[in-house]
Amino acid sequence: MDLLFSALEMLARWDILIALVAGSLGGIIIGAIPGVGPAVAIAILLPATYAMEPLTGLTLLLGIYGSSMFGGALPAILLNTPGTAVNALTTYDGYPMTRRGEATRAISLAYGASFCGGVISVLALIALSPLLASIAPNFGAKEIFLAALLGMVLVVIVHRGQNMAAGALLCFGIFINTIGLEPIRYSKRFTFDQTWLASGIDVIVVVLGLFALSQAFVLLLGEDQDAAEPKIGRGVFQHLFEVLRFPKTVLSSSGFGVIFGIIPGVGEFLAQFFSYSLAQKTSKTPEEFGNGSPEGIIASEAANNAVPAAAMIPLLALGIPGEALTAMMLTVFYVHNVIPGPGLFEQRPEFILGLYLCLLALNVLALVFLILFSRQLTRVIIIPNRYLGMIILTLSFVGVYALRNSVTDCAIAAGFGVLGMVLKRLNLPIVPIILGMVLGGIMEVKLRIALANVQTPLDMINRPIAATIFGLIVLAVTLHLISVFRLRKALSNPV
Amino acid sequence: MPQEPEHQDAIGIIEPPHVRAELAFSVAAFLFAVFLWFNTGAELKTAKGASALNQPGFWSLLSIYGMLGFGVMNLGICIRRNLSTRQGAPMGPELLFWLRSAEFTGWFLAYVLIVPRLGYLPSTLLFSTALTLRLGYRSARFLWVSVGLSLAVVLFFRSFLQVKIPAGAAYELLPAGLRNLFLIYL
Repeated sequence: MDLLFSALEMLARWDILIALVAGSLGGIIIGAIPGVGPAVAIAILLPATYAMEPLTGLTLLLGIYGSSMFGGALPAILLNTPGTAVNALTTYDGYPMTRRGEATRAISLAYGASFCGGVISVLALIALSPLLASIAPNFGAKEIFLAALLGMVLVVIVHRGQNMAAGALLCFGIFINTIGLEPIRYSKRFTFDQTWLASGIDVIVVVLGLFALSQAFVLLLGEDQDAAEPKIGRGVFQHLFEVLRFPKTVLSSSGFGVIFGIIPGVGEFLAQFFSYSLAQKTSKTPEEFGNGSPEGIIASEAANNAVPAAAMIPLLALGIPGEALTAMMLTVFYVHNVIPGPGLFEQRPEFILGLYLCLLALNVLALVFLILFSRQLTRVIIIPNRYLGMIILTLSFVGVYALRNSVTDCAIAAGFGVLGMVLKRLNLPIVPIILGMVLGGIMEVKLRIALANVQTPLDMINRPIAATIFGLIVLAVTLHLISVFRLRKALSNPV
Repeated sequence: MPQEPEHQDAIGIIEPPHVRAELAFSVAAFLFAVFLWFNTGAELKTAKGASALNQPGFWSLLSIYGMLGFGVMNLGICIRRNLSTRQGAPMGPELLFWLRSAEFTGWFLAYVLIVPRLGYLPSTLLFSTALTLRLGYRSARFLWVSVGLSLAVVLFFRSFLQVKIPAGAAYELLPAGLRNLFLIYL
């Protein structure tokens, strides 16, 4: 009880309250503007949060992360354009409902499902906490190394049809992280005798380049879309509870979101893909999917909103980010010398509880704001793309330059911006580069520590958790190879 | 009469359209990996007595081999895909699109270079309004929005959040009272 009170006391601080409101409102607005997305906003705001308390900074960033998916449903339903990439499946059923004059109902369903997904995910996080607190201390260097390796394997595997490209980009990320001074013996690695490379390449510079600047370039070089300001009717609140008529879809989709959020390297996209497919298979009206099915909207929105809280589980318990956004948040922990991982649950339980409460409050705030201001929010959806590119370029400067006031950092970020733009144009994934950088660094350090107690390779998996993670890696690779083999066989022997 | 569904199923979303310029990117990525591999001898040191896994260059080497291995397989896949179909967005215009990003990279770097000289507020005002005009938004509404946006950005980040952005050299030319205000907040 004392713990709860101290967490509530933390939540009542003015800086946390401002972060809660700014994060949830900012996230909704950013999510509602197609072409921005939470990664761009988080990358830009990241250096600014370094001056804040860790809980304040994380609340702001988590608010943007979670709320952007609420807001992203709006253009997905009204304009057939997802506000964020993870709202893509919402267009399948949301837009057909808008075309038949049910926009308000579709939006209410999306908000209701998003809220349920978000809250269920936080509750799952709270319920899992005692388990995490008991298991996390059993994670030593070997286990964390293997868990990071599992994340790397999964991030390659999930990019179906692009496994080789994802693998190469992941290795590129690992390579970038090794540039500069090696952490144990301080010998130079790939500095080419350049002083500006000796201190290495900061992950934030790469993140800003790959996410923010690349998006600015894509928008600036593209064309503006002519879209009239969409209109939605009154009564968002009235339809909100309709989501409760589909409890099976809400629970299964939220469950997928939680599970896929926990697994490193997987994330929202697969969560909503699987939940949508399951909802379609188990629905009494599967033919409605793609034509404006309420269950389709619920499956997509509940799943993607359940991911952010669940994605914090590997980050908090093991210090391993599962995807790019939590990788960015990891830097907030490091800057404040709060090391996420096994010790955090024992040493800072009030911090963990405070974070859970913030996540819960963010969902409530986002829902209330959307119920009240959805009609006004439709105005920001139609900002011209190229003008948006100019805004992102202006804001990106703060993100990069505020780090070290370095022109070199800005030039490196611009270089990664061009690379990110090329990857986006080719539909190649960016996330493996970031995960390669972050997980590569973690793996290098943990492997060195683990090697002190390792005589033979089998010693790496001589503990139950290590052996289980290794088993999961082998299972994931085997299942993937089987599916590739089957696909090839099917393609070579068409019916 | 029922409308045709917008999408048959969810699988369509994970099959991105083919762009032939992937071949140029795959070749460049592979050549970059080869370049790194050629430089491993000069750029990585060997620690005497340390095992292979404890060598300072182990992770660099591992990542380069990974880039080479995955890169050559990706290149093979791209070549096969491009030879097997004539469909997909053509390479030339796509490469030109990539090159066109140099203009906005230049805009960004110019902005970076003028901030320490002119100061954050004047540079941001200049940058956003000039870029707004360059993009073709000539109406007074867009220009005023750009001015307002610049002010909001500077006030939020430098005045409110106090992010580390150095004061402009040009601020020294301002009268004493105004100079302090600009040096601290703008």
